[in-house]
This record gives sequence, C-alpha cells and structure tokens, in this order.
Amino acid sequence: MSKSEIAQIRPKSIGTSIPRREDPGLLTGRARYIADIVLPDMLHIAILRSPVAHGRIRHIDVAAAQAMPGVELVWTGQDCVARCPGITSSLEQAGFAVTVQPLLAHDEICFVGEGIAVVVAHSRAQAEDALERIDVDIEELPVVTDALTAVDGADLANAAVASNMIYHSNRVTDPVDEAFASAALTVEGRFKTPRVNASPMETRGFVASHDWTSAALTCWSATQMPSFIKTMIAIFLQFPEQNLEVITPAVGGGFGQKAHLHPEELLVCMLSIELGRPVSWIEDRQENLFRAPQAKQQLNEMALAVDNDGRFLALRDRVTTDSGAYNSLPWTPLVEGHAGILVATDPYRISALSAESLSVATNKCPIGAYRGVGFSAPTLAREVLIDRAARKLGLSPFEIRRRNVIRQEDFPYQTRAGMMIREGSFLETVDRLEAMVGYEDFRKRQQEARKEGRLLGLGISIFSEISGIGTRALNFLDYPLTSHDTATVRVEPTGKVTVTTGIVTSGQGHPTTLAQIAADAFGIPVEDVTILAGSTHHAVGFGTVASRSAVFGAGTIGRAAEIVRGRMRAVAARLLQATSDEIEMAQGLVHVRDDPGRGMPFAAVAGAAYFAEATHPEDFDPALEATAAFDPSDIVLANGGHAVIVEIDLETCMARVEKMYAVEDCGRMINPMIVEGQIRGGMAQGVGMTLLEELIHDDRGQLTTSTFQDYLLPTSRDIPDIEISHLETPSSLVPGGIKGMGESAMISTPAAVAGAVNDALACFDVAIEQFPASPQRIFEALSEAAVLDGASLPN
Amino acid sequence: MKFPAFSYACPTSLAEAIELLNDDEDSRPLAGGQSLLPMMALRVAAPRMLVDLGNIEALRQSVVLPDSMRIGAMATHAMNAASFDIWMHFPLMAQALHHVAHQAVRNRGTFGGSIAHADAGAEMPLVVSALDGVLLLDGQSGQRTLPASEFFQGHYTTAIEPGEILTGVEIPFSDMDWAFEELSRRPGDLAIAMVAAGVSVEDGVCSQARLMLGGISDHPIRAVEAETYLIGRELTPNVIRAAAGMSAAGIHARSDTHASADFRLSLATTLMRRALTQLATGAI
Ligand SMILES: Cc1cc2nc3c(=O)[nH]c(=O)nc-3n(C[C@H](O)[C@H](O)[C@H](O)COP(=O)(O)OP(=O)(O)OC[C@H]3O[C@@H](n4cnc5c(N)ncnc54)[C@H](O)[C@@H]3O)c2cc1C
Repeated sequence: MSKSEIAQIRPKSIGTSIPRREDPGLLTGRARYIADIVLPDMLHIAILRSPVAHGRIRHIDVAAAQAMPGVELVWTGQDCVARCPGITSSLEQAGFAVTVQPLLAHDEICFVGEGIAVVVAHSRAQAEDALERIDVDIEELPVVTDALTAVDGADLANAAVASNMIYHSNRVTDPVDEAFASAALTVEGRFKTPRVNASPMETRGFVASHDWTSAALTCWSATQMPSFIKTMIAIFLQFPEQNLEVITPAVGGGFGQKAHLHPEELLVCMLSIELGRPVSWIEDRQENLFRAPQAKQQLNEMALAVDNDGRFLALRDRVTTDSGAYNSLPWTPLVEGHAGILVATDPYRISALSAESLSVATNKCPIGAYRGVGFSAPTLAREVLIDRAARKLGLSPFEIRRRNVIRQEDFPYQTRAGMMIREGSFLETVDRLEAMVGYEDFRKRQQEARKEGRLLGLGISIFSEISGIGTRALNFLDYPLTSHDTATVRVEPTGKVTVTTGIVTSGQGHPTTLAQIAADAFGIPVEDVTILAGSTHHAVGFGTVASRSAVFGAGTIGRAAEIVRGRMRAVAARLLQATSDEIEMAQGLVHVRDDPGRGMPFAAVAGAAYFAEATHPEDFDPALEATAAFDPSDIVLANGGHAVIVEIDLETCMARVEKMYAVEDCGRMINPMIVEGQIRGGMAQGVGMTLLEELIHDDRGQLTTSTFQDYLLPTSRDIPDIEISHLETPSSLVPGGIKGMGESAMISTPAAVAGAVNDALACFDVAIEQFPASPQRIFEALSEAAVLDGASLPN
Repeated sequence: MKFPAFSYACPTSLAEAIELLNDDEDSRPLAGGQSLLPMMALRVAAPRMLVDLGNIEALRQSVVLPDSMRIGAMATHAMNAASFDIWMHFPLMAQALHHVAHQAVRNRGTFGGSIAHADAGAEMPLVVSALDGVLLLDGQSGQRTLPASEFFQGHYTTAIEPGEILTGVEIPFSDMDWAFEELSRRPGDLAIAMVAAGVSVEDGVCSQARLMLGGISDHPIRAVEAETYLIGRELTPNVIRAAAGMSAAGIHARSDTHASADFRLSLATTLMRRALTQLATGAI
C-alpha cells in the first residue's frame, strides 16, 4: 500500500475547540523544559565566541582557564576537529557550494559569535569566569557584510565558497521581455527584508549523558527535529545509532530556529562521551541573538507587468539571500530566497515568470529557517507592487486582486514554477477580507484622518501556503530529500488508544490535536486517547517544521488506525453476524452500518481481540497495534489573506498598527481555537519583522543590536485587535480534509503591514521598500520627498 | 549571562553604606538593579562589591516641605507613580512616569538609580532638570548639594564622586503649567526624544517659561533662547512654532541605532511644538 494512501477519518472531535490538554502543565510551571533537566554529576559549558567577523586564529592559550575553579575541561577547535571535522552541509544541485562548519573554529573564523573554545565546569557561572582567561590571538581578515557587492568583490567571506556564491539558479526563465515591453504598466521595486531572529521565549539547549556501562548516549534537546538530530549525531560522531536516544522535553517555541543541527549539539555529545558525565548547554539570550540561526534577509528586485484592465502579464524577480558564513543543516540558505522565488506568483494567474536566485556568503551568522521561511519576502514584494499597480490604475486593492486570483474554473492550475494548485478559495478570501475591512468606509475614514494630519493606510495580502511539506513539496523546492513520518497506534484491552508519534511539540498543541484525530479515526471520545511523543524511541518523524504536523499526524495516525480497525472489524463482524465491510465505528460503538442497535461497545471488541480467542475469525492477527508511514502524494496547499491598517504620525514618523484581519483556509480545522492562536502569534511576528525587529551589523560585521534593548520584539502593546474569519476548502490529499497552517500569518502579514505603510504614504508619492519601517526610515523617505517641511497634507 | 563573582553587603544605615563604599574602591551602590544587574550579567560591569541600599529606610522616604518636596533616592518608580504628593505638586513627573519602562521594572527600578545611572533616554533626569531639582549627595567628606544643571554631564556620566551616594532630590514647587511629550520605539522604551515644557500665562501672555529637551543630546538641554523668546508673547500657533524651532537650534544631537541626529532634532521641534500647544490649549 502506498504511503500517500488517505485513510478515512470522520470528523467529530475534529472541528471543535476543546481545551489544550498540555496547558495545565505549561500554565502552572510544571512542564519540564531543557533547563529543568538536572542530572547527578552534570557539568555545564560556556563557549568562547569570536569577537571578530573574519579572521584566522594565530594562537590560543587555555592554560589559565583550565586552572580556574570548577573547570573540568577546556577544548579548542583543534581538540574538536580531531574528533569531528564539522557539520558538512551540501545539496545535490549543480554548482552548489558545500561548507563544513567546524564545531569550534580551528583556523578560519567566519562570523562574530562563532565558537572558538569551550569550557566545561561545575556551573555555568564558573565556565563563564574561565572564558575570560582564555587568550586568543586572531589575525583579522577583510570582512564581507553586503551580499550584493560580495558577488563581484575580491574578498571571500569563507575561503571554501568561491566568489561568495553558494548557489545561483535561473530555474524558471520564461521570456518576459515582450510582456514588459507591451504592458500598459510596469511596477517595480527593490524590497529589502531585515535579518531577524525568531527569538523563541526559550533559547536553544542540549543535554547529553553518556553511560559507559551500557555505551548508551541519551540526549535531551530543545529541538523541532529529534529524529534528524539523532541520525546526524550517529553520522557525524560515528556513534552507533541503536544506542542513541534523543528526548524532547517541553519546548518553549521554535519557529524554525530549533529545526537545525547546531554545532553545540554535537559538541555537547562529544564532551559527555569524553568525560563520562552528563553535560548541559543552556544558551543564554545574548548567545541566541549572536549565534542562533538568523533569518529572512533577502533583496527582491521584482517587477510586475500589468495590462490596462489590471491583469498581470508577467513577473520578474531576482532575489539575493544574505546567507551568512556557512550553510545551515539541513536547510542551507536555499530555504530563503530560492524557495521563496518558486512561489512568487502563487495565488495569481501569471503566465510568465522569470526568476533568478542568488545565495551569497557573508561574514554573518548562518541563515536558517524561521516561520514562513523563504515566502515572507517575495510575498511582501509582490503584494506591495500589486497595491501600487492598483493605485496607478485607479482600482481598489481588492478589485485588482479579484481580477487576478486563480479561480474555481482554473483548477487544476499549474504555476510557472511547476506547482499544481488543485483547490483553494482565493476569490472568496478577497471578498471576505473586503467585507471585514469595510473598504469604502475605510477610504472615507482615511480622508477624514488626513485632514487631522493623521495618515491611515490599508495593506492587503493574499497568499497560498505550501503546508504539510513532504517529499513532493521538498522536491519542488529543489531539496532532493525524502520526508515521511510514522505513527504507531495501539488499542488497549479496555478500548483506550495509545498513539506513539514522531511529532514533537514546541507549543502548538499537538498532544490535543493528534488526540482529536485519533479519537475520530476510531469513533471514540478524545479523553480515551493518549499521545506519546518526545523520544526517538517512539515513532519516526521528519520534524515539526513547514506546517506539516497536522497533515502528517492525520496521515500517519489515519493509516495506522485503519489497519487496527480492519482487525477489530473482523472480530465485530463475527460477533454481530455481519460482514467486515458492514461494520462501522462511531460514538464509542462498533455497529452494523445504518443499524446502531446491532452493535457493541468499542471496548468490548478490543477486549475480545485480546482475551477471547473464540471470537477470533480464522487466521486472525490479534495485534491491535500497527505502524504506518505517510507522505502526501502532492503539495497540500492552504490559502488565505491578511489586511492591516496602520496609522503613521506624519511628524514623528512613527507607524502603529491599528487593526488586523485574517482570513484562513486550512481545509478542515482540527481545533479552531488552536488555529486562531497560530494566526495571532504569527501576525504579531509579522508586525515585528516589518516595524520593529532588525539585526543590524556594522561594516565590520559587528552585531549592534545585541540585546533586547535594541533588538525590538513587539510587545502586547504593539499588537492591536485581530479579527479572524475562516473558510474551509478540504484537502483531497489528507484524511479528514486537513491542511497545515502554522506559518500562514508569518508568510503574509509582513506583506500586509508593508502595504499599509505604503498606502499611508502614497499620498506623498513616497514608498518604503526597506523594512522594518522604522521611524528613522520613514523620516528619511519623507525628508527626501521634502514632505516634512511643508507638512500640509494633500486631500 | 551569569554574574562575575562579587561580594555583597546590605547595610541598614547610610553611614555604614558610605563606609562600605569607601572601603573598597571597586564597589558600587545597588538600588533596584534594573540597569546595573543586566550590565553585570553581560559582563560590561564587574564591580567587586555591591552595597545594596535597599534596607536603608531613610532613602526610601519622601517628605513634603513648605516650598518643596524631597524625594528619596530609593523610592521606586511605582511608588512615585502612585504618590498623591507627586501627582499634586509635580504633574510633569507623574506624566513622565507613565513612560518609564513597564510595571515589573517600575516595581524595582528607583528614582535615584535612574538619576545616578543617567541614561540619555531616561525620563527622570529630564524631569529633575526641568523642575530645577537639587541633588542631595552624601559621602565620606560629608553632604553636598548640586543643581541638576551641574549634575548631569553626559550619557551615563554625572557629578557623583566615587564613594558618594545620592540620597534624594529636593524639588521646588513650581507655579508653571507643565506638559511632557516623548517618542520611543515601543511603549516603555527609553526615549529617542522627549521634551518637558513649563509656562505661566498672565494676561494672555507668557510670563515664565522653562523648556527642556531630553534624549536629543547626551544629557538634558535647556532651550534658553526659546524660553526668552516666549516671554511677553501670546502662545499663538506661530509663536509656538517659532519657539519650537528655536529650541532645537544649535544642539549637537546624538545619533544611534534608532535615530540619527537629524531625526532627533526634527523630533525635538515637533515634540516641543506639541507640548506648547497642549499648554496653550489646555489639552493636557
Ligand atoms: C526593560 C527595561 C526598560 C526600561 N525602560 C526605561 C525607561 O523607559 N525609562 C527609564 O528612565 N528607565 C528605564 N529603564 C531603567 C530603569 O528605570 C532603571 O530602574 C533605572 O535606570 C536604574 O534604577 P535602578 O534603581 O534599577 O538602579 P540600579 O540598576 O541598581 O543602579 C544603576 C546605577 O546607579 C547607581 N546608583 C543607584 N542608586 C544610587 C544612589 N542612590 N547613589 C549613587 N549611585 C546609585 C548604581 O551603582 C548603578 O551604577 C528600563 C529598564 C529595563 C530593565
């Protein structure tokens, strides 16, 4: 049977907002996070991190550190490289530049914050004290900080990356010149999204405990990808995989940042093996800002050709990703601009696409995944351009989108990048958003406000989201990887259900939603289901990334449950004197179809399978337990849209969000409350990225926003009311019609905020293309347009 | 982000605290810890000894005198924000306190700590300067007082000598009306720019004016020229506009990650105009 087979699940608990079963532990502080893992004899590490962005280690002296109180061991890069050369990250694509990131630099240092040495001590404080005694002599090398000039520059950010070019692609090269030449209107811009840090409330962390008596290595990791981490430890450290367990405790947010193999994780394993004692690394906030994978820094040079009726003719985009000094694993920088450019046209009918992507090495922290990765930036560029075209043509921003979105009659629609869109509610999304915003009224209000010197702006974004990313989606995005999950489902003798899954949670509510799925697969109450997760001794999972867990949860649990259901049906058929095909399960009963009177409790059938051989059919396999894999047969596409209203104070140049709206179509919702939680959190992050957050590096590669005093996360006071509306277009590829949605708000809210800022300033013909739209940037734009001196508002 | 090793004392009298501070030249007073402790965690500061002022009751007390009020250095921002006396006598300060950090930080952070720390974007140094506060210092060589204009010397730089403790600030009652305006990136952040404006209006014209700018330069700046200009004039939109423009003229503004010098000067003008407009229209 195929791994993409779609099991039958009849929604009952699915679709209801039951409270999250994990919340009592999380809300009362009883859940155990990585920093709560305390083991006998455990040691702590601190890492000396490079103060320079590019250099060569001439000499390093750790003797004084070694002699400090409480210090057990000090290692430099030389000690590490002998045991593990580093994290090799490559992709099988022609011209892709492989990098090897040492666990600690032993020769070349490529960014500020790169590890140079590690101290293992009895406490973190002692380890930090000892760090100050390490003497390093670094020869400084020229620093590459600007991805654009790096391409032709003489200086290399990383000696292993020729011309600083990690990957250059012209995957889609439709001829567009003619369309642009004949277009009634061309809108174009150079859109810069900031380098940001996902800033989960809990930083990264890893504990390893090597037991020499059993040769077992047990690890605890605040990770989104435990199965992957386990296999990578086995490969990079040549450690027998059967003796490895990676446990995921409660994780305080990941957002993609914890979906990588980090050098520190391998380092902690090696140290525990070396010392025969548990070793803990709990990253602090400053390390997190310097060294946790950074995200989203792209330049999109985009142009859209539009005809007189506002129809889109062609899109051209050249995206440059500021990739940092090494390729992250497994994503590499392709996860940013390159992945993004392949969906640049998505919710719209655009018949010609010319897409070029460049991933360029710089002396900065490696770029990695962060919610909506890749997609936020091109969506922002495209949607701002669409608004601009609408203004030039005198169309409403809703109308221009209505004229271009993929409609019912277009399905299945193949995008120019090659993605097949089977279903969606793009047109309904535009209509729904327009009604929610009250467009006509908004324009009147905008006029009125201008008279008072207040600039209101409305931004809209329509998106589609590649969710439930499996093998097909990864291959489409140029990752030659395979990605499936497994789940094991067992019906216990008393009719309770235990599910073991490879899906780990970092706060999204999986223990609840997966239980809802399993309950509906068997037609039993959700309270009767237990979800076991969080250890690689359980099932296998690719990771909680790319909005995939709802899809893979439903797929794997559905398929495994179907196998077990088949066996239970056989027993029930015998007991109820019917055929297996006639047996159904619903409301805690196993009964003959259309005849609930001819039935028995679910638990009775389970009991019979375990304890009453006389009830078994011939050749009966009594294992009420099955493991199954799932990988959807194609891309599972969710869609929706966002609208944002901002107000800009013309004189202080401060933009504040007044109101936000979301329309989400993630197929059938498992738990609407959780869906809405995902939307609200993602929208807050979207506001952060477009108005507040920015990791700023100076021209020497120094991070100048190195604490939360300067790296500005949105607080509750920066986030206004959010109004949410749902559409439900079920997926035909996933049991229950479910689709993923975890990233949607971060894919498209930035575009809506950016659009709103531009709409507010459009009356002055002022455009903002670099984000965040800080007061400083708005001030500069308005000054350049000589708006501020006059300060009289056009009507 | 763990503290370097330090020793700690928590004296109950001022005399004891002064002695402790002078015993070890590498010692520092600890007030609410909201600025000092993060700096130590980041290892930007590493004093050998912390002298916690938290148990010195006298430093926490504020007293209303016939013509002034003495506010204790260890009064927290939260205490001051809830103080009826401050609300009555120094509405400027009450307004400014809304902009200081968040409740959790205001519960610990102190008036004196804020002044001694002298962050260029902090509100209390501006308030104390605008209201002509007199800073009360105590040290081994005895007590001394300094006017605010001599106390604040730069970003994180004041006239406090090593071993000295700021015990409080005596602020004279003011018969002017006051307005406060600030811009920060997020509510509760340190100011990019702020102004305090005070005026008295008699017979329709301005008889007294005090205009101060904070966050623009590295310490609070008084706009003397603009103050003089206002005297004898009616606070019309044009007069206000002119005074606001004058107030920022010639200032050497600072520039940082969040705002350039030019932007700060533009903000100074805007905020001053708004503050004066509030005063002129009574829209406080
Ligand atoms: C998240 C956050 C946001 C903040 N936002 C703002 C804001 O918007 N506006 C603002 O003004 N502040 C803000 N602050 C700073 C806050 O107001 C601090 O409380 C204040 O700056 C320092 O006061 P403290 O009592 O905590 O002093 P501490 O941190 O204990 O001490 C600060 C310095 O002053 C010295 N010192 C303290 N008391 C005395 C004394 N009596 N005599 C001599 N020296 C002394 C200390 O030795 C130290 O050098 C913020 C702080 C945080 C953490």
